[in-house]
Amino acid sequence: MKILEIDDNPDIIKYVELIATSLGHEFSSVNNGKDGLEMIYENQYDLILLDLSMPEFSGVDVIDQLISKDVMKNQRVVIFTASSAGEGNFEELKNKGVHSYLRKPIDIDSLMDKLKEIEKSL
Amino acid sequence: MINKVNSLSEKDHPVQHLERPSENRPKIRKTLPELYRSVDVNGIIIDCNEAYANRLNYTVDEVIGMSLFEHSPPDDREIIMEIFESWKKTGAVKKRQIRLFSKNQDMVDVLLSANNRYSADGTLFASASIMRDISEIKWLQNLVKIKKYESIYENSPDLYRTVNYSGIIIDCNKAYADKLGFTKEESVGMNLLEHTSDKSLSAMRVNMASWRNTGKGKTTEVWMKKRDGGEFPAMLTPTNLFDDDNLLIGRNVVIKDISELHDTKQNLSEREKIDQLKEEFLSVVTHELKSPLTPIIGFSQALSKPNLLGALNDKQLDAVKIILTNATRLRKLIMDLLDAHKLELGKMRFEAKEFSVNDLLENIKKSFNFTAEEKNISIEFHIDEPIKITSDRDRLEQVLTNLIYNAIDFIPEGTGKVDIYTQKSRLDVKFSVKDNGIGIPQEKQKELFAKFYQADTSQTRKHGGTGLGLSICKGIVENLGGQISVDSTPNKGSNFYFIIPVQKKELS
Repeated sequence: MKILEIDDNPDIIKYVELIATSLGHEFSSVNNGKDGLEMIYENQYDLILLDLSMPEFSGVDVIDQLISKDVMKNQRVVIFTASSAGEGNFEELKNKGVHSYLRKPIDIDSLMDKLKEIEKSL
Repeated sequence: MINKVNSLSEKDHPVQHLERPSENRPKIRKTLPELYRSVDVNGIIIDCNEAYANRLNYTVDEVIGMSLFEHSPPDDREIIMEIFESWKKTGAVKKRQIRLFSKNQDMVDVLLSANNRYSADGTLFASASIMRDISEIKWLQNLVKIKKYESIYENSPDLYRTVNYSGIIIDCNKAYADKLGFTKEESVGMNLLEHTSDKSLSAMRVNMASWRNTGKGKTTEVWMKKRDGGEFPAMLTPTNLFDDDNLLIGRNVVIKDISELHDTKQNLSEREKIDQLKEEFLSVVTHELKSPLTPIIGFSQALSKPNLLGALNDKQLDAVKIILTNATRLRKLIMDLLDAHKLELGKMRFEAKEFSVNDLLENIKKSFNFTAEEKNISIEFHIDEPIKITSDRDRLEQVLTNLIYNAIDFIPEGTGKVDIYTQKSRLDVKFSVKDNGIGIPQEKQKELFAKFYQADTSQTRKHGGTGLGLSICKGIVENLGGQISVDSTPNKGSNFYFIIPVQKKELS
């Protein structure tokens, strides 16, 4: 499937790319929310992996922009968050149409399982 | 107009003198029973007797032609104005207490009664005022004695002082004198402002002025000043004193030293600030610490999977596994630190949703497969009936995972066993994590759940950990409405168990 990762940490991007491509997916990435929006407007992705805490333009900002442009409902977004279990406002994000979240540090098996789960649901 | 007088007053007059050293304190003179003055409708004094002039340190000639406002302290201008206007309207003043202000700025408390003087054609042209000097301290003291409970006043550990209308101390108890560093005799005759810290002077002046204007005294916090210059915060609670004609003549004041309360308050707000800083610091640090862990743990995991980046030789694989083990431990330490801190501050959030305990245990089991295999230990989940509960799934998983890791740390490789049991009753579910490890001596069991506790400090190095795990488990279980406990026999093993309600009552 076609995956876009939006994350300001290039090492995490490299790691996710490794896993995604090893599973045979098509992978693109950008390191900030604004570029991420451009990519989403211009392309159709099967999955968007979105880091929640980025400087200036955060993951939440990206989601809010997608909602205001009325394109959020076409997206499948999985959040990367450093918050621990039960923290943050995942409920709120879910109401905004976010698919699910993965906690940082992102465990290889959880990531692989998540990708497989979404691929299956397509 | 009033403002003008007040600003004048600060320059050339009044109350200021009261803060001067004690040699310059107003000397209270012998009572002169009757002072007489006559004031015209413009407020100009047109006549007075010797007694009046002498009492105010003027000559009769000096007095005549002065404004009556010059003979009262500027603070009292409103009261004097009100009495004066009322006299012009009604033609009489009956026994009003006012303060006179002498040439050398002494304060004289008097009772004022006034009648009218009319000209030959019957028009009002002046007052005839008779004043009784009541500033003699002895006179007031006698009056006041009857009003107060002598023994309580004298023997109270609280500080008591009695002041007259002008704020001159006419009595105080031993506790007051001792605390302030004066003798009782020295204190009597001093102005209360001399016992007030500079930083509370204006508040005290306002308080006294408002009391004189309204007759109402209110509890005030001020800083007191001792003879040696030391200061302490105090709570002043005044009670009015009246003479037999119900005339306000002074106030009794209970003074409570609130240094301790003050310190506590200050400590509290400082602690709050520190807590807030700690919280911010920890949340930033934790986030920053977690970020690099994703690539460290992720790539280590990727390297150890032969089909991802190619197979490593045995030595390389060992090295990668050591990196992975330690990175995983580091992750746990960071998580624990943050969780312990959140629990301490009551900032940990809990959600309640219905979920299947069986599914949860199945997940946990999966996550331990690798460890069990690697360490050659048995981790068994004994799940009989399907159980559904409404609680915080992630937190429950955290507790169980913590307890299982804890057990693994203390069982021998090869023969180690961890067994997880669930037992449901109508209202509760009991979870048990049993091991056949080294066990915990009886006397150390109850401290186990305390923060940073390690049953044996020599084990710290062997088993690692912050000593936070069990205290976090306890915190979470209690927040889920349950209780945690342990049974253990040294060299046989431990059973950590907790009970949580099937239905979590309230979200915290």
